[in-house]
Amino acid sequence: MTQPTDKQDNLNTENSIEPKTVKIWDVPVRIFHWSLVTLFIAAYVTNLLGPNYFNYHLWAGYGIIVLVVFRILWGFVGTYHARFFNFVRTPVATTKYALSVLRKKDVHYLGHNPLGAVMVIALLLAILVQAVTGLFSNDEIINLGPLYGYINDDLSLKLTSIHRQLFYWIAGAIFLHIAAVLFHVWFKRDNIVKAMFTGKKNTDELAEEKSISSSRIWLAIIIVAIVIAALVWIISGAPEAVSDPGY
Amino acid sequence: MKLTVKTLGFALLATVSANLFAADAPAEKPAAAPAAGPNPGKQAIAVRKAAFTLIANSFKPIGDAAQGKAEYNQADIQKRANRILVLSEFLDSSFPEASNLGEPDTKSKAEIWTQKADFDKKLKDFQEHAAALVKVSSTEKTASDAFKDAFGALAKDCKGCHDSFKAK
Repeated sequence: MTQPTDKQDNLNTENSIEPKTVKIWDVPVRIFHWSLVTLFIAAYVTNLLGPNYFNYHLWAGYGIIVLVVFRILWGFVGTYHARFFNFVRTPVATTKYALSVLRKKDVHYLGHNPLGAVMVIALLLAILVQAVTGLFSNDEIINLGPLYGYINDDLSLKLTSIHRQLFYWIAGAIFLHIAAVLFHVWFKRDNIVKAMFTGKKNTDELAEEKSISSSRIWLAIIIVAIVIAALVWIISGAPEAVSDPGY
Repeated sequence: MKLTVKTLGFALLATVSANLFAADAPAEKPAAAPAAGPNPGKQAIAVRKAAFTLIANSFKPIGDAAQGKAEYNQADIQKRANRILVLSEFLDSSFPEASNLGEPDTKSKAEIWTQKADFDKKLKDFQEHAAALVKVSSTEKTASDAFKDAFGALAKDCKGCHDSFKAK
């Protein structure tokens, strides 16, 4: 990775074969992203396989909760491009950006652009709601979510209904997300898929101040450990669901 | 065994019908000329709800044993599997067209009647897998893979039908 320190360096690299790269995504963000992809697919598949695979579905859900809560916290204490304050824009600014994309005059962003920011927030919140409603669900066959014991059955069925229907909204949002990513890769010549693996982007911009120098991995590990401990505490403290007396 | 359960089932059916006469009478538009006899649609709904309640009650302990949450008691599993099989027979005749009343009367979706062939096939699968579970539980002395598979197949039938035909 090259980190130009002055303009002269920058001019030199433009002529060299090696493209100038800048590191934007820290290791925790990348692990988060691809783990979430994996667990979301796992949750979908274990649901399709049937009630007998509920345990695996449950574990996928726990994993997703840890990931999403971690990412929300990381949005405040993570590295530069991971922080919400550095990429979420006001509705007016976001609308202006959207219009500039339509006129093909949009500014290039190293990290999330303002529209991407909307998707980041929407997906994080929707997936969190999806996972949390699952904790209270009742499949009306044999499986109950681990927090079912806190609420009555009517409320549980309402939350189960949300858990069923929100999936399709999330699937639609993911479809849109992938479409936007492919748009960047194919039409804007910006391989952001590769960047989510390597953490690096090629750039012509003078963006050295936005290159991250550390992934803050230890901070990430501590946060994940705390989130896991909190989840274990919540799940294990839940009252046991009144099991069927089996008349 | 099967015979006694069957008798029990019919006794239940009779009780449900009798209750319906009592429960439904005041609800039937008192201003208009009261229709003679019970509403056949609502009667069918009550019957299948009763059957589903008992199927769920019988199925839960089997699920607990299959998932290792409770000990496998062969006699108990066999008894409950038999009940499910008998109760599943009530579903053959408890979905008449007249019972397509929608919510709040029933969570049965209209697709049951518009996609009748699919519904009938799913019900038949359920009954066949219930019979398979009865058979398996008559031989398996532990919570074996054969038992878990038979349970899993039946649970999947529940889910498949709920996903397609139960309003949520």
